[in-house]
Amino acid sequence: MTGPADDLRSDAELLADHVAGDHDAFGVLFARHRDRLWAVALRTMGHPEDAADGLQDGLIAAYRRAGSFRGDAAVTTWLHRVVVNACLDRLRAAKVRRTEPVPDDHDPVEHDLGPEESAVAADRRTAVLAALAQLPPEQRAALVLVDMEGYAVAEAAEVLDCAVGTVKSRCSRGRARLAELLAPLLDRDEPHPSPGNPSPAGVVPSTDDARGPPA
Amino acid sequence: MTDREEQVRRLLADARHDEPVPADVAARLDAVLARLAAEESDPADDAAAGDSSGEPAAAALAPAETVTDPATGPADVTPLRRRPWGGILLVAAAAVAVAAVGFGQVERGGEHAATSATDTSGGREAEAGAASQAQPPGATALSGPTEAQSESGSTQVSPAHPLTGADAEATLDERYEASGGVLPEIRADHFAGDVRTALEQLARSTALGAPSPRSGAAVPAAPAFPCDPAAWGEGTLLPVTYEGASAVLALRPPTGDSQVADLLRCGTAEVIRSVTLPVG
Repeated sequence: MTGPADDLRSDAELLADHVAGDHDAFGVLFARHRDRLWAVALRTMGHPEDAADGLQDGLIAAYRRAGSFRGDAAVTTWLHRVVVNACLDRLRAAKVRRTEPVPDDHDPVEHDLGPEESAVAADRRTAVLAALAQLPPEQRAALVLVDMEGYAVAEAAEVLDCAVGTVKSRCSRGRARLAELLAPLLDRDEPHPSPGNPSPAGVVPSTDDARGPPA
Repeated sequence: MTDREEQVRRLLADARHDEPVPADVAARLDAVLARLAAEESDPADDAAAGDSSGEPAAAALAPAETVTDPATGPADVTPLRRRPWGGILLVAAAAVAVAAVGFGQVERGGEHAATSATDTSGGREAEAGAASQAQPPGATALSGPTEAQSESGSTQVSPAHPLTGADAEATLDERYEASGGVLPEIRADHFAGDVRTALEQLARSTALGAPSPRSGAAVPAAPAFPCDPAAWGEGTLLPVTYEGASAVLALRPPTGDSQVADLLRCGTAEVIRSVTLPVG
């Protein structure tokens, strides 16, 4: 099988070849996108094994329903839609480990931080993911796509198969809820206002010459 | 956006997962793809191999059965599960298994006497190795024989088996008639739950002796299900409503320990939604 990096066919060509009976084409296509699909599944499901189940569901669904792809969205958007739908269906069916904690050992250690900072960062990440897990699946999926994965709202709407306004609304409600859940974290990180009068908005340039160091 | 919400956005961005898919998950997905491709390219080998439980393949038990619709897919991707699900899942699996048994019994024609639940359950085991005939993936055309019987005469069909177009439409009409025109409603925002409920209702109605598909002219014609015919693909079909319109719910054959239910649009069989359910 040609590796995904070596295959010069576009996503759309790979999907068309798969539908036409090329048994390797879908593997190349999926390998090209599976890391991002995995990230979305993991953050949407909240647990690695649930994410693997959701991603597998999505893989099978996409493989079998490739013929229904009409080309009105990018292939990668369609793949994300299939995987996100598979994950959401699992969440709605409560086929997930809702009460299990997010495993600490599954996320990367931030090597460029010192041990203490790294521990703080890991704690913060764990708290964020735990709070995210408390949101309704639709809000969670919207936030994963928009705020984590950096999708434009319009593209997230395509993935989620809903209106742009719906995505905005889900994100807004989700962020508001997370702000409540993460209040201690936000309060800790928020810069405390200095006592007394607030600082002036702008810096007023001095008309005096700059002073040199003391003699 | 408030400052707090902006802070939340930053926290979420920091919690983004940037690592590649873990090796074990990648291997699992590769195994899925390999199995899907292998079953499309050489269904005979797969059928002969049987399933991982050591049960004989469905083709051996039911030589007349031909699985033709790759949209419903190959049957055995059992190795893809790394560990069994928890107790809550077993309940769901049992419910779906019951539904599948009910479907298996309802789906059979009148000339094929109803077999016991044990038989049907055995059939489900066997169908884990069912062959699928090579066909371009994603296609939903329906073809091939519709029933399978073992040489002993007992029906060994899987809970979901291929139907010809006429048989499929007749089955839908009969289930529509049995419902008294009150079809299960599948709601967009409760999709998975409503699908499970519909399957469970059908299983219960079957267990209570609800009408099964008729055979021949001995039974009067049923009122037609208001849904344009289409190539529904292989599987057990149930008339439903979705967003106020008629639609068809197709329970596809099991794939290892999971089973896909597709909601199909009348007239085109376009897949509107889909959900993967555990089987027992």
